[in-house]
Amino acid sequence: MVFSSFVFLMVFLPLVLLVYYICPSKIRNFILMAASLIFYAWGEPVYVLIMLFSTVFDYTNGRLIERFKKKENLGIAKAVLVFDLFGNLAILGFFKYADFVIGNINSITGAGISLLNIALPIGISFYTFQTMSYTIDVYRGEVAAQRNILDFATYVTLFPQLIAGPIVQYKTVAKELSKRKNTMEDFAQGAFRFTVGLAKKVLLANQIGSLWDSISAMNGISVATAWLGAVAYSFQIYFDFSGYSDMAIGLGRMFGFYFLENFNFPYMSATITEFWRRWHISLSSWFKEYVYIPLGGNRKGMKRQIFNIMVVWMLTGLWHGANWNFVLWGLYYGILLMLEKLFLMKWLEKIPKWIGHVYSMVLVAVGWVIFAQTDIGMLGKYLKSMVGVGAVSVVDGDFFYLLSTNAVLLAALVICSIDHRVWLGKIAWKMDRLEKVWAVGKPVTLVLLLTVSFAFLVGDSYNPFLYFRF
Amino acid sequence: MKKTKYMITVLFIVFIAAVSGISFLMPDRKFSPNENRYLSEPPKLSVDNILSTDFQDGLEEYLRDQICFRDEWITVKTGIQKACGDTDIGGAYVGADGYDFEKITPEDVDEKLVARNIKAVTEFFDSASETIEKDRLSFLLVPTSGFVMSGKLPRNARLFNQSAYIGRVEKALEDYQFIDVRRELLAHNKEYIYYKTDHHWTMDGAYLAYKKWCEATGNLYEDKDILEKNVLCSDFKGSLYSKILDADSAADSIWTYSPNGHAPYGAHCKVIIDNKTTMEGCFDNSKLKEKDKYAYFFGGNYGEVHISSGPDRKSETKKNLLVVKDSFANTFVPLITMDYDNIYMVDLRYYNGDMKAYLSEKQISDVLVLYNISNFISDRNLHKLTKKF
Repeated sequence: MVFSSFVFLMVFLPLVLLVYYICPSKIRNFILMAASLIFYAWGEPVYVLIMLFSTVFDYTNGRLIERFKKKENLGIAKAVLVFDLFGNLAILGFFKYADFVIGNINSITGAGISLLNIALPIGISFYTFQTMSYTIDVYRGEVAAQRNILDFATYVTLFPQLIAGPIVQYKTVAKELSKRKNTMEDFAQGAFRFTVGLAKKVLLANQIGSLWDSISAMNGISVATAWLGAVAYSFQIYFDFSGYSDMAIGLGRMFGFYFLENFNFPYMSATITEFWRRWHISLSSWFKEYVYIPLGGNRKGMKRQIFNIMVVWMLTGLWHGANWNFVLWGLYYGILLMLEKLFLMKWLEKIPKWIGHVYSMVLVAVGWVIFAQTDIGMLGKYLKSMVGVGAVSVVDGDFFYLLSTNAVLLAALVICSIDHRVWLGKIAWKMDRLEKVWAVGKPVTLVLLLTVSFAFLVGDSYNPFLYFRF
Repeated sequence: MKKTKYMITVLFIVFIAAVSGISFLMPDRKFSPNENRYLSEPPKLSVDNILSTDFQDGLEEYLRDQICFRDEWITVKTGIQKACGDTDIGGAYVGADGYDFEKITPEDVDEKLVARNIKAVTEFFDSASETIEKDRLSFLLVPTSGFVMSGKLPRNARLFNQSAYIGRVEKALEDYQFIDVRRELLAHNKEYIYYKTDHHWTMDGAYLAYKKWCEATGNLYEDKDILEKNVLCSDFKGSLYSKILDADSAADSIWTYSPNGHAPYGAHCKVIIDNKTTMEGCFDNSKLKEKDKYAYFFGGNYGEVHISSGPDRKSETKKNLLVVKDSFANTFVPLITMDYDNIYMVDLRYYNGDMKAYLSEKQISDVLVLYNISNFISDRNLHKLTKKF
């Protein structure tokens, strides 16, 4: 089930909210878990079993690790952890990467092994990373193992972040799982956040997405059109994904959970390093905490650090999908980040900031093209069009039409990509007066956004979630 | 601040509850005239349906189709898009002077299908020419309103190059009578020759083609100046309106022509549809009350329509015409009913039969293939022309 579906908005959400709030707090975790299982099984009736297996597997291993650690039997605790990580990665590897590996073996050796053609279980990349963070943290002693399997299952299956993140680390919600308050303040904040996320997805991402769809399907495009397409996709993926995170964070809040932020206006970045501090924060911090730092991070000299960066970024790329373009995309960022670390950063700090913004956004847009085109041949062709090789012309009528018919939308996307506090701070004559206006403006905005989002949802059958592949 | 959180909580709950509550309480609609399709019914609940996710998908479709105020939501969306300067809405272009246009981009054209369709017509004519003279085998390919009225299209709007395709067909059929109406229609593109809210041509557009057809076939035609215009309705909102659902869209008129004081063209003939229903004349008045008023002409599209000119014909012509066609012919054929003893209209979308045998069975003396170019390049039934049944 996805948040922007009618089943979710008109049936699932109202029913779950109703049942959750009329039940006593004791059984609320059970309600959430049951609802989450239905939510997941809705699109994947069979694969829900894998998730249940993961739950039991990691719960047991967490308990074992803690027990052996208490007995000061560190070796066995470590062995259990390795076993647990192996198990998780095996599940992920089998369902996500088996066909990719077979395909590559076939093309290198000509072996002709038949593909398994297994459908990717939705959200598997997210929940396996969550459960791994749990067992590692238990091993590191950063968090106590969860004794109540129901609470643990609630964590693993929790539907707000289940299928497209953010990757919620167990330690950040451990307390809320066993004891949390449900206040109207939280509910209102959450409902508003959810609405904003829905609007970002439906009104911005889906709309600009159709521009990218038409440009990427066109034969013989001009340089300007190619760049317009890259810009369109950059906006689509940002508002799609951050809108989804907003909805997840909002829903979490409506049930009393505080998830960490996943985006912080990434398109305001002046360097690529900054971009990755602002984009998909829960994934970058996961890799930093559980891969980069354990590998030695920056503590073992420059050579080792560069090696670590490249490993982390290749894995980050591969995490996004079992395809060479994702590996390429990861390497692309690995190299850029390395260059910034080596010398670019020093230059970027000296030059005017706007050059840094332009530099970052151009590279990010090129990155998204690599990300979007899973066919390497098509990718090459598109990148060539962007630099004018094989393009029909520099600009053409198509470009002007597509630009003019999307001009207002593009302007809205630019405005929404900028942290409103930056420009509000500049125009606000008095902050307290503004807050008074907002007290009335917020409910009005809520109803407006809901109405317009529903109008666009009904009007668009076009409603794919981009982050489903992962 | 305190009030704000109450307001938001209440408004959010009321909004979600109201939309789903009203949708479930309102009786289901069976048919959507705007989309010309039946709306989804509640899916059947069973273990198999759940495991195959048919139930889940069905429920989503059902909710989407039966959500309360469905058309109103879409109208709101179109209003916002138009206000934002978007001219590409719901798969159609919003043009100037109330004109909407079909959006067919170069990528929408299936080149293989085009080649197959051209080949089908050529082969059909080749085989028909064994018994019928070549200049009695005609092909009339109607351009779309976007081509003819390109001045009203949004600037630079992307459209497939239909003139190139028309040229290709013309070349393939150079041995036969190819009736090119591009120039006539372009010369009159300031007139009301296509509907504003529908993709079809009007009677005026069809008349221009009719004149050209008469010149090519040697039939006589009346000058338009002496024809009398009978406007039948002026509240027609056609297929393009249905795509866009624009609250302040234009409305179209539907009309016929009468030659000097007589009944309208096409009013006096016997029409037999699919060998079953009989109509007096080519027009179905009841359709003027329905959504798709274009169905006034012949009551819509049928596999086989037999038109006999009956006792009113000028004189016995000894000519029987076969028209292989799409819906564009429904406006054109009423103009020519008196020029043939019998006209047989075949719509390959609904007709299955051996066309070669049909020629001899009905003693066909003349053949006209009439298609709109966008239908012709996307039609998947033209292969039936040469198929043995």
